[in-house]
Amino acid sequence: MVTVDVVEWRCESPLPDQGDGDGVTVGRLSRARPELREVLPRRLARNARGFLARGDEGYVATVGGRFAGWLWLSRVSHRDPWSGLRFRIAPDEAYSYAMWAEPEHRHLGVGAKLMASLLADAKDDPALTRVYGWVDADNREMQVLIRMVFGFTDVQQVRRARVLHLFGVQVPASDRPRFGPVSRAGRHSGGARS
Amino acid sequence: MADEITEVRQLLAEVAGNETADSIGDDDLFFEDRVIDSLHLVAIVDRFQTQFGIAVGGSELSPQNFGSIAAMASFLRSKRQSA
Repeated sequence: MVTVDVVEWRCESPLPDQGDGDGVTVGRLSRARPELREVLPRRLARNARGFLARGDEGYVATVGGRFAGWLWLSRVSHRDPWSGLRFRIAPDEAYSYAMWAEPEHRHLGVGAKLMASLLADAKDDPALTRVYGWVDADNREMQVLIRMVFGFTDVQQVRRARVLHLFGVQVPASDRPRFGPVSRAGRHSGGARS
Repeated sequence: MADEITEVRQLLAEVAGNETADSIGDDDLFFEDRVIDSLHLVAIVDRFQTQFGIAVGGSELSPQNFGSIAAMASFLRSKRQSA
């Protein structure tokens, strides 16, 4: 069982400059712009079909034209089968998930560049006020990235469990506070939290 | 707090090199100014655990606590005082 920090980034927040160079290029993948599907490894292409079918948008990093990582943005409430977390989001919210950077390219800051691209688009979208994400409490690298580099802040904590390494389960009644995107009550249900 | 500043500066030197540590003032925002990167910061936070015996929670990872040598020294001092 794992403790998970549910975090948010407010769209009025400043974005750090990730700099250019290092050979990392980030492009968007969506139903309307499917070209980047060609660079996806076979093991990830099937996941992408499901994400795209939901209307989610992918941010795909490449180095020298080869897949280097990805990160996804959803504006649809749904349950993530891998983590087991069910995110319920309001119309002015979105949820970032599935960050992955190929190990051989992590030293290039692929994760940071992916997140910077996603948040830059969110910031430019007048319909969005915040982007949620989640990170295991003991994932030091991701904690540093999202908190120190991008300024994500705490919303809730919740616990999740993996079942036979096959799928995830959100532990019932483990959400604290009992208000937010992984709870039945939240801004998504008309709650008054700012 | 002079002792904590010395300890943090020494830790920074071990993680990022003497030249980097010597180039940073106590109040310089070294992470914001990109003098060190997130990988260095991960190593620093790990050292807080292994070297100082201080576990750093996610919500404690903030520029207020880790944004400068002085900030880290203050955080170290407060954790020791509350232990």
